[in-house]
Amino acid sequence: MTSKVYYMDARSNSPQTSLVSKMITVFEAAGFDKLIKPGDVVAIKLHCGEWNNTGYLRPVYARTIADKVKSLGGRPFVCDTTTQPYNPYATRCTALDLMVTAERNGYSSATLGCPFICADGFLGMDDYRVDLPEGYILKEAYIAQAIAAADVMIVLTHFKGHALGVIGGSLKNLGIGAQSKRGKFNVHMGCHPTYGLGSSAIFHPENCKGRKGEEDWQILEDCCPYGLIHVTEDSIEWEREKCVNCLSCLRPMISRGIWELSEDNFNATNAAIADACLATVKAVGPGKVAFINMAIDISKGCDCICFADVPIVPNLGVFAGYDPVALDKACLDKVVEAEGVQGSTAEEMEVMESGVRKFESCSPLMAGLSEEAQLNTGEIIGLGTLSYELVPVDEKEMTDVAFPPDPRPVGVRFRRLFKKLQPFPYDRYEGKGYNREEKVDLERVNTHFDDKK
Amino acid sequence: MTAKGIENSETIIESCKLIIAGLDSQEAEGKEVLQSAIDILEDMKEKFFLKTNLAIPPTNACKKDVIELQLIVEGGDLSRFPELIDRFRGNMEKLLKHAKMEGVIIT
Repeated sequence: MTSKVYYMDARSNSPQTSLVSKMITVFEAAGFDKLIKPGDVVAIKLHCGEWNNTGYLRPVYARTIADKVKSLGGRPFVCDTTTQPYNPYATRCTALDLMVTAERNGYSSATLGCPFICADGFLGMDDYRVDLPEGYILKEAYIAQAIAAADVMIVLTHFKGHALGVIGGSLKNLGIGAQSKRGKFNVHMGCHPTYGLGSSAIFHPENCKGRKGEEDWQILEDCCPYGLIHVTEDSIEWEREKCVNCLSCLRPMISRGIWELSEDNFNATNAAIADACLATVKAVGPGKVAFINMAIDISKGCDCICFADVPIVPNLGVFAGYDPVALDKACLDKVVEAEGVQGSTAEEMEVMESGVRKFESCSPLMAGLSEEAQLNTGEIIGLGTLSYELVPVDEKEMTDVAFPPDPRPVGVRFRRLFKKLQPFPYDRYEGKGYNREEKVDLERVNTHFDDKK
Repeated sequence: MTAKGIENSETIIESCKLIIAGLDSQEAEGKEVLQSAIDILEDMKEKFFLKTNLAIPPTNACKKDVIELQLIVEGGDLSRFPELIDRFRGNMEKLLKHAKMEGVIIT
């Protein structure tokens, strides 16, 4: 079976080829407008970006989809979920933190024209449990309640790299992003007897000099929200059997050599991401979830880090379809096909050539992870297929993308108004309007600094 | 398979040792920089950072510097030595900064 992936490239040279116009063009080409019936509650799931990240999608994309949903009679809301702590200074860990960060990043009802919702409640415990007998590793998942409650979901994804997942596409937007906080612990293998961090990481207490020897030892205790790390006078203790895999101690621990992460933990989490994505689709309803991937600003890291590096490849385009596996695979293939961007990590990692896998070298924390692991799992469990047909979509007519609040030609809009309130001062300087030189030496300025040397 | 960061570090350590041996009594300050790099990398080899992909770009940069330094020491013309040892010191400082892994978050 082959899935259709509707596609437009990233070049823009007219109003109808703006990336915003292209996004809504592929939305319609994929038939997403037929999905929404009057009165439907429509979740628009995206990543609102971490504090100081600049790679996340501009709010105008979500706004445009929200407007489209409203024009079809639907009731849209834009949403993201609370995160695990992930680091000692996390910025989206509660609904309060998430809303503050989202608003700072431009996501508010004022910009979106609809509410921005934290989908899993104040502490990430508002969820809906889904049985998953077909899961590769997960046999249940916990979906953010507002997402599970929606009639339809549009998954709007910024396609990029990821330190754990290797890629961050549609599967990860739902496989992590649509899970409640306790759902995220599940996907990350918290307390898993084989793949959990507590079970699989190599612990080197001998690399911690304890309270006597570590000047900033306090952060080692303060970074664990469960209080499982204890710095002794000359070493460190870790109640590893209780570790929930929240990863907030990751940097303080591994930068000191106290831990060695396990590849198995990463690989198991990647398989679980596909499982949790399938669970989300089941929660909303098969055929009720539509996916759009914006393959632009393709940074090596996720939007959940507090910065965004130079993109590793140029902007690639806009992709839409019902099969998230096919969609992510199509984006991934385009990244492999593209040449790397000079001055980016692609150059530092020597993966600039077309035909070379970029993410595997640039994005994951550890070598040896496949950029297709999530996708392979997705195909095995029946979430989608790696076989796809890329369907090029024609651009709209210019009249279709005219200024929506008043699409009439400007002569019609302003002629009467300008007769009443004339902005050009025709009455001054014999109709020329302003006091200006009649003629100047333009060649004198139309030159370069180097030409004058 | 040995991680690229560790492989690079071993190359840097070996090159530093050869450069120090090739300098005899010259460039005492440069020798200190090279010896300090050896000590730092020997210590880092025991830690996880060098096994990560994050370690590859900064160790690549340091490796490039020591290979150039080794070539000029072997060639006997030390006129570019101060410039290159400065660059190496700068890249070692960057490596140490990267090893703190500030901003590294896995979500």
